[in-house]
Formats: sequence, structure tokens, C-alpha cells
Amino acid sequence: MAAACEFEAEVLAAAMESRWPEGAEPQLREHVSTCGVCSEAALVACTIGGDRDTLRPAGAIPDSGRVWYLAQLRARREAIAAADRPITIVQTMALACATGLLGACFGATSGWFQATVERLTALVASHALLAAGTVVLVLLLPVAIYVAIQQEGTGTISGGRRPAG
Amino acid sequence: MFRDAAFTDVRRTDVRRMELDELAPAFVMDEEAFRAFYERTARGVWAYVARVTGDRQIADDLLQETYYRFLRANAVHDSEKHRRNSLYKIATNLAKDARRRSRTHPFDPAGDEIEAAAGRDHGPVMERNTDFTRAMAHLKPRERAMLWLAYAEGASHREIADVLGLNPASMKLLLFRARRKLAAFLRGKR
Ligand SMILES: [Zn+2]
Repeated sequence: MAAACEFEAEVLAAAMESRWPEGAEPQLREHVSTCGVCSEAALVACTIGGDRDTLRPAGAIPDSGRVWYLAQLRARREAIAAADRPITIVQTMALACATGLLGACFGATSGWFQATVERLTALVASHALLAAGTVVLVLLLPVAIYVAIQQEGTGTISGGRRPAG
Repeated sequence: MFRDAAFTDVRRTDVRRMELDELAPAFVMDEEAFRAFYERTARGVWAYVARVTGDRQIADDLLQETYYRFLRANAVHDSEKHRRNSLYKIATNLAKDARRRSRTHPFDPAGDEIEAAAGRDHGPVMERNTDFTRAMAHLKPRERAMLWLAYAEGASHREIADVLGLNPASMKLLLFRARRKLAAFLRGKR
């Protein structure tokens, strides 16, 4: 079958304007009955046109006002998200800058820091007993105070209570 | 001090809101023009997506998205045809993505068959639609799209090529082949 026929456009126009076959010229109808290209064109165009006119959505087509409103709402939300994004980037960059600055300061004064650490280490090594005692005292003192408070509290509550009657 | 902090927060929120009013994209199209355009095109777009994907539920789901993307593109169109082509291009891409997501159901005519089986008052119409749906199910999505654009929307070869991202020079032959294939299924020869 040839890929084209000179009457095809005419047949398609009649089919798409819902004039086929009743509203078409008798000569054209006769031609289509013998032409494979045109009969296919008429069949497909009429079937698709008929389907388009009868096909119905499962639900109703949403109202244009509602579609517009939802689009506005979503555009606004996306604008909020877009507006928040640069702030997050700026905050992240600020944190990175602050960390870098602190690092630089530390680097500049690290000689002093290391000297202090060394001096403290030497001091601890030369007075080992005193250091150990201080550590024990620092660790045990809060525990001792806590236990004392607990005991005192318990004593007050139990002492405060009197048997009824 | 805490009161000051709270006050600063409130002020920041107000400033943010004011900024957002400026940031919220004003669509190029105004509401009145959009609503008129939607009224003219929504049913056609819905039917196109329903027939290309073979799933009316997908068509329901994609309608709002299609128009949102159309609005958000903020494109200026020189004619109604150009505007329609943009809309169908968006619908085509969304349908393609939806189909990719549900590869297990590339074309499901069940919805139409159920409705046809239910009969209703317009039984013969539904029966014809069911035959058509079955025939369309044998075609590739691209073939369904080009046939629908040509014979339901009356689009030219150039417009179809533009919407589907195809070479305009090959449109005539591709359309002829798709039409022949559909005709054969409609006549029950395949
Ligand atoms: Zn012919």
C-alpha cells in the first residue's frame, strides 16, 4: 500500500469534522471504499475522534480556580524553601569561617600553649605525691559532700515524721 | 534579655514574610487568562494523558502537575498553538515519567473494561471504546501519543514532532505506520 493518497487530507478533514461518511461527497466515499490509505485514515480518525468525545475522567476535572489556587500555594512553598536554602548556606559558611579563625589563632599561639603544657607536666612529675593527693581530693570531695547531704536529708525526713495518734 | 530575643525573632519572621511576598514568583500568566486557558484545554490534556498512559488514574493525578509546571515555566508564548504545544510537551514528559515508575502496568485497559461491563445507558459507545482501548494497548506509547495528537487534537506533523521531541522529517512515515498498525488491530487483523 502506498504511504500517501491525494484524497487523504480531504477524508481526514471530513472525519475530524464529524462529517464522515454521511456528510462527505459521494465520489469521495466511493474512492475510500477502494483506497486502503484513505479507508485506514477514516477508520482511525473517526475512532479516535469518537473516543475523545466520549472518554470521561474517573473523577471530575478539577475546577480552574482550585488549580490556580493550589499552584499559587505551591509556588509560595517552593519560594520559602528556596529562601531558606541560601540562609543555611550562609550559616554553614559562617561556621566554617569561625572554625578557621579559631584554628589560625591557636596556631599563632601554639608555642605558648605547648610551653604551658610542658611546664605543667614537669611540675606534676616533680611533685608526684602532692599531685596524686590533689587528684584524690578533687575526686573524693564532691562524693563525700554528696553522701553527707543525702544522709542529712534522710535523717531530717525520718526525724520529721511522727507516728500518727 | 529573653524578651529581647523573642522580639528579635518576631521581627525576623515579619521581615522574612515581607521578603517572601517579594520572592513568591508571580506567574507570567494572570489568573483570568490561566482559567480561560485551562477551561479550553484541561479535558483534552486529561484525555491525552489517559490514552497515552492507558491509565485514567494517572491522568487524574498528572493534570494539576501539568498545569503547575506550565505556570512555573513562566514562558511567554506568541500564540495559542505555541502555548498548547508547551502544555502537551509537559504532559508528555510527565506521562513518560509516570509510565517509567509503573513499568509493571505499561497499559491497563481494565478501568474502561469494567465501565463497559457495567453497561450504563451508553453501552454501545463503551463497547466501541473498549475495542479502541484494547487496540491502543498493542501500540507503543509514542505511537499512541502521535496518533492522539494528530486525530484527536488535529496537530500538524511539525507540532507533533515538537511535542514528542522527534525529527519533523520522519513524522509523516512514523504516523503512517502507527495509523496502519492501529487500523489493523481495530479490524481484528492482528
Ligand atoms: Zn485514497
